[in-house]
Amino acid sequence: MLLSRFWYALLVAIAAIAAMFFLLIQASFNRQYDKSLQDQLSRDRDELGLILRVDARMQLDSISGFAAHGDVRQKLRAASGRNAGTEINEELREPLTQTLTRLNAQLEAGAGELVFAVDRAGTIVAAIGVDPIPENSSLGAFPLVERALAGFVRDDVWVWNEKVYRMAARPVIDGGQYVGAIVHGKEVNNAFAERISRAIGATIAFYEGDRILASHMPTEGGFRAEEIGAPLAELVASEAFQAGDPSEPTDIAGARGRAIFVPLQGSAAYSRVGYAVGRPRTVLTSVGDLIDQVTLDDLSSLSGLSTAMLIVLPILGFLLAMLWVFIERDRPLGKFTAAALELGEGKAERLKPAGFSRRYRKIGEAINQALDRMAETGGGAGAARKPADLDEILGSTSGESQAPSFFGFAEGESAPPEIPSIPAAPAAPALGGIPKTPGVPAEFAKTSPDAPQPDLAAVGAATGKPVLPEPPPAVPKGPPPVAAPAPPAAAPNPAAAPLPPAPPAKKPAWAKGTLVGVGMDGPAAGAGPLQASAASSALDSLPPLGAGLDDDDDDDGATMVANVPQELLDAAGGPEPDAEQEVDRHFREVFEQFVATKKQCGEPTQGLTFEKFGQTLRKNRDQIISKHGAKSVKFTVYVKEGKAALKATPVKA
Amino acid sequence: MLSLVFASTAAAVPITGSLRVPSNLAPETPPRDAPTSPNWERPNGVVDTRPPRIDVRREMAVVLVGDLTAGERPASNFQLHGGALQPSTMVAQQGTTLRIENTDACSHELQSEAIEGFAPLTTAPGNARTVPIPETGSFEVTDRLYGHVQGHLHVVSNLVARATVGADGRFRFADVPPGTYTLKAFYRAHEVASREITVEDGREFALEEPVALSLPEAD
Repeated sequence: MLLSRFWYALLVAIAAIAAMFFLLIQASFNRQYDKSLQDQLSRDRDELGLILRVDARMQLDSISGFAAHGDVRQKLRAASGRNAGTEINEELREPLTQTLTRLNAQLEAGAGELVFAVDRAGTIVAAIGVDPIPENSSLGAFPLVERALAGFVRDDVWVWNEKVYRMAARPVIDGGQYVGAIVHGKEVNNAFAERISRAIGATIAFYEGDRILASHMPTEGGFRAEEIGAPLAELVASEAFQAGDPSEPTDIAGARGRAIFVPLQGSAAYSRVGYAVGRPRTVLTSVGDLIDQVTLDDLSSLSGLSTAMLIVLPILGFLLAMLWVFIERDRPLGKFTAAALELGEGKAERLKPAGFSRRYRKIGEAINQALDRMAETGGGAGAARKPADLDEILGSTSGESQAPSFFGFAEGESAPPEIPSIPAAPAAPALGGIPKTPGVPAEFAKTSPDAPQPDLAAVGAATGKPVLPEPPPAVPKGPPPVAAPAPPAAAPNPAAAPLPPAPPAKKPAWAKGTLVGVGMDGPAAGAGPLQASAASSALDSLPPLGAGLDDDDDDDGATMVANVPQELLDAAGGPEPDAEQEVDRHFREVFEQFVATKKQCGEPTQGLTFEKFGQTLRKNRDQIISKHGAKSVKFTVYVKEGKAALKATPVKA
Repeated sequence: MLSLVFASTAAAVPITGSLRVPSNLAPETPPRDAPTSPNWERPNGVVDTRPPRIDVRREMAVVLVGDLTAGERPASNFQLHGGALQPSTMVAQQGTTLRIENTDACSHELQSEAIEGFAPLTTAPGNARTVPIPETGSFEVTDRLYGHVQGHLHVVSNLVARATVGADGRFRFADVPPGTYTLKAFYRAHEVASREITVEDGREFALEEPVALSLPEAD
């Protein structure tokens, strides 16, 4: 899984880098947006100041008609000429008030809510928006009026009875003399705030101290009066703000927006009257926020190559990841799964860990070990089988060791019994041909493949020799296996008792016709699959195991070894010039048969190696040759008491 | 030297006089500038503008201090008129109550940080603000709503009479009991003249020569 892990690590690293870049982009975006917002608010402040300046100029121009009106001039001249200390005559006040009202109405949108006509001393002669007018009330000390009475056209901002007004004043001149002044005021209200808000496109609020006088917010991205007024209490108390300096951009509405607070030009600055401009603030906190900022223009700005890379690279990365997963996980897992299924279906006896990847190799070896333990402890009667012990099976190879009984020699005998000559065995049948049973008289031989199997029990009774069906011809790799001939029935040998029939040992389901002692369909140790398949196909043409054998044979527990064809015996007559190779080849064949037989009998085969097996066989062979004067020794494998056993047959010249 | 003409009477007599005010005496500029400056201030373009002049009637205070042989000390009553304190230079007797009546059409919020109990309170048109005067000294009085409203209160312990000052600088004390007093003139936060006079019983007192003012240097 090295490639997959490396790829996953690479993808995680890429994701981490992408996340880092997002955070960097987020911080950079937020910083640049804040700066951009600060610049925008500064522009809003300048623009609003310009709007107020232009509005004041327009107001001054609009009241010029008041100051120039003949009725106004006349009345103010009369009021200025009265004796000091006398009150304003109602005959002057009433008509002048009506004139002011009419002139004010003509201004329409520019009409004022607070209008005064004052005499040369500043005494209020007539007024709009003040009722009743206090006796002898004056405006002469207000800088706006004082400068207007001195001949200047001037604007100002007043706080008048808890309201704020944008004021404008012009002198009234009659006959070359100053006779008074017109003082005109327009209230700072929501309508005025709305007009400015629409012009700028931001939230506008006018305040006095810490209270909002008037405000207006745009349809989108606006703030309520209480939100934009929240910082006022703290701002108003600051020294810089009291000195008349605009504030720095200040967070409002929980940092959803920022506003700048600016004192108004004019006398009302003493009352901490000013205006605020607020705009929403965009802060990126997640990928979703970043996506919300993307517009169609941004998408159209992506080049075709960039778009292709954004699509192709992730797909390639995904495919590579899938490839690593397939190579390092799916394929090994598939092989292991197939082998496990074969094991479960009985098509295999063990797993082959060598064919798996490292992880599954360990699992395979563990499963095989479990199978071995199960074979040792479970199934059939009898004591748990111990691992194969060659010495126990083959006998000690030391000089003091006696000839083991399982080699067919009885203990205590001075001379081995005469080994009957191996009867001539019929030629090995060709694959698909009519299987010929060795030792079967002609009258009992099959005449056609479809003919029934000869009664081997009858043949055995007739010939006096137990007969087993001809073993299937395995794919020859060297001389075919040699089976020891059946012990002569006439020579009673207590040691070599009639071979009991093979117990109904556990046979794999694939055994159609198992002939003990023959390297066959079951894959023997070291056997290749081709051999097994060839043997299996040969076995398919043979009658099933036991066909022709009576059950009585099995009752004796004797497992008979198939007769060896004569030509094989002739071929094994004696050491050839390459005798060592022949011997080694024979030992290897016996070893494979022995291992296969042990597996068939459910015996463990751990620790059973050819080297040790062959060494033991060689020592026994030497002993037998020296003891019996034989030219060579042939070993065969058979089943004795449910266990694999070996039998040695000396071969004389 | 001054020659004084006395009126021979045992009853209180008026005292008249005049102040010599320099013609180039200009009103002080507001202490704050930039925020209070207007957007526009232009000459009308028709008639020449008038130069700014000090309002002597509003900004000069002439009083007599000394031992009072008869009558009562004058009350400390003043006004807010025309949008400012009238007079803006006030002289009051220690221990009396300062009373300022608002005769304007708008509200005011007078205050004085140096006088205990003189915090900004709204005085509506027609109402009066009263504050006890506990100690002598000179105190600044301002308006929280209007920066141009600046007054100075001089509290003395032996106030005898307070004069009415005209726009031309002439002043007049009404019904001053006979005795020797000190005539003082105040201009905003400064005492600009002081002269001893003796009022004889039954004889109207008139200062023949104007009282010269020792005005402070402009900042």
